[in-house]
Order: sequence, then structure tokens, then C-alpha cells
Amino acid sequence: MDTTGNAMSNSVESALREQLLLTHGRLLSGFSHDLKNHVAIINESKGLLQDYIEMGKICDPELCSRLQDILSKMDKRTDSIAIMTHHLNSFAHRFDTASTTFDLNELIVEQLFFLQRSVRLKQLNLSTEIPKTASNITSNPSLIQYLFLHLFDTLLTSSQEDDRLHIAIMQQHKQMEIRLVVHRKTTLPSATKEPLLTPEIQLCLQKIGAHITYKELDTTSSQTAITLPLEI
Amino acid sequence: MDEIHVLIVDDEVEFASTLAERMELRGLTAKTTNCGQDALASVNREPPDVVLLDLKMPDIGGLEVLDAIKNTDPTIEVIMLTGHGCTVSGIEGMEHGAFDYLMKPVDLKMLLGKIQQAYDQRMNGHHGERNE
Repeated sequence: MDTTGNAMSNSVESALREQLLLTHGRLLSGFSHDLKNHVAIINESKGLLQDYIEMGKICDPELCSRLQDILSKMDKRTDSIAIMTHHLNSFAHRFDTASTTFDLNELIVEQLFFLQRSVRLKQLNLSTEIPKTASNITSNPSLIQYLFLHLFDTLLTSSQEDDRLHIAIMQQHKQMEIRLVVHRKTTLPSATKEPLLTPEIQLCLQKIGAHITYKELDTTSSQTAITLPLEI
Repeated sequence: MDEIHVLIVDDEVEFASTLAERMELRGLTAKTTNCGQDALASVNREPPDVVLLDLKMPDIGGLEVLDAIKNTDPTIEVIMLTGHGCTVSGIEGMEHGAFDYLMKPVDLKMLLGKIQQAYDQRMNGHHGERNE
């Protein structure tokens, strides 16, 4: 194939990948929408049973107490599922548009929610410093997700049990900064800690006008930061 | 709570009927329909005070039903129920004249509060004003 043919093939492949992502996003959002409906029905049924107990329509006090116990266990689980499906649904919608205005804090909270399991399995301590008021930016949310996941993954790979991870979001002049700080129990060679800037990451940074900086805070702590413009 | 007539429009039959039963237990009059066409027929036949309207339904979309209700009687207040994670569709509903929107699964206490506010607005004749 000649050079023009190759370029066309690459562009078709890239369009195909984009379509795949959009399709997966749509499927995921429909799926999580259905999940929400199921949770809503369980919640209402649970609530109805609670209503009957509270209104004294179930006469046996022992049975009432037992039912309360069961309901409270169900409550905890359905609350967790509701939060999970909410995040899953928001995540699926991140693919909808290449540029939109959104709350960066919400996006990172959502990402951290999905990463909780990896953090738990690796037995790391995770803390966050996320502003309570919205940090609205206009950018490509799925590319920011990808960047954040890439950096977080680098941290996870180079971390060991009981290391402390700290994620912070702050506004610096007319930019937003996402900081990923790790405090390790032991010293590691820099090469294993620094984020790998693959061609895909570089393209991603270029598309959203972002920058990644890395610095060693001391012998065991390091900080990686993503700087994002408020608008692209 | 006053005797408020609520129409619940949701294609999830169990969700609508259970929610209606819980409202009835609290003294509200609640009816259910499970599609947009039936909702419009019910609104024409027996206008409710407040409509709880699901955004996504198989026959007519929630926004279309909302427009038709507002054309029939602008004083009927509509609260949109959405299962979507993004708030865009809810905000769009408010731009079409909805009183407010809530995400599923919904907290009953919060929902009852919204219904009371929507009812008060209908009684005070301030319909069409944006809920803050």
C-alpha cells in the first residue's frame, strides 16, 4: 500500500475506534439506566414494607424487629448500588461529546470510585482534597479520564502496601491542576515512578492543551500533576 | 398534606404502582399510567395537580408529554423523574416548563416535599415560574 493508502487506512481505523467507544458508551449508559430502574423498584418496595411497619400494620413486635434488621441491611446495599450505578451512568455519558462544560471535581470523584477496588486490593491509603464548590471547565472529559487513569495506574504499579496516595484538585491562576502525590515507605528508582509519556498520552495532552509535570518531594515522596486550561 | 392529586407516569409498572401505594398511605390521591398516550388521556379526563413524569418511555418521550400537558393546562405542575446520570435532560425539562426534576432512585421525603411545593405553586397561580 502507498503512503496515501496507509494514511487513509489509519484514519479509517481511528474513526472506527472512535465509533466503538461511542457505541460502548451508549450501551453502558442504557445498561446503567436499567440498573437504576431496578434499584428504584427495590427501594420503593422496601419503603412500602417500612411504611407498613411504621404504621403498625404488622402486629407481631418480634417480627417487626426482625424485618427492621433485614430492611436496614438491604438499605445499606441498595444505597451502595445506587451510588455505583449513578457513577457508572455518568461515566458512560463522558463519551457523549468531545468538548463540554463539566465539573472536574465530579469527574475525579467518579474515577476514584472506580479505582477504590484496586486501592483496596493493594492495601494503600487514599486521601483526597477536592473542593466542595464546582470546578467547572470546558474540555474533553473522556480524554481527561484517560490521562488521570494512566497516571493513577503508574502510581499503583510503583506503590506498595501501606503507601499513602493523595489526590488534590486546585485552581492555579487560570488553570486547573490535578495533583497525584505518593508517600512511599521505601525509596524507588525514578525510572519506575515517573509517568510514561507514550505517543498516545502526548496526543491526548496536545488535544486538550494539558501538561504533565513530575517532581520528587523528598526521597520517598513524589508528585505528578496534570495542568488543564479552563477552556479548550 | 392537602389532598393532592398526583399522576405518576412511568413505564416501570411496579415502580409506579408501589410509589402510588406509598403516596396513598400518606393521604395523597395517586393514579398511575405506564405510557405517554395514556398519560395524556388521563390528564384530559381528570386533570391532576402534579404529574411525576418519567423522561424515557417507549411510546412518546417525556419532554413531548410535558409539552402536551402544558398545552392542555399550564397550571398542572410536572416533576420529571430521570434515571440518567447527567443533569442535562432534567435541565432541558425545566426549560420546557417542568417544575423540577429528580434522579431515580428518589428519596420519598424529598419527592413529597417537591410535590407539596409544586401543588402550592399551582394553587398560588405562579405556574411557569422556575423553581429555585
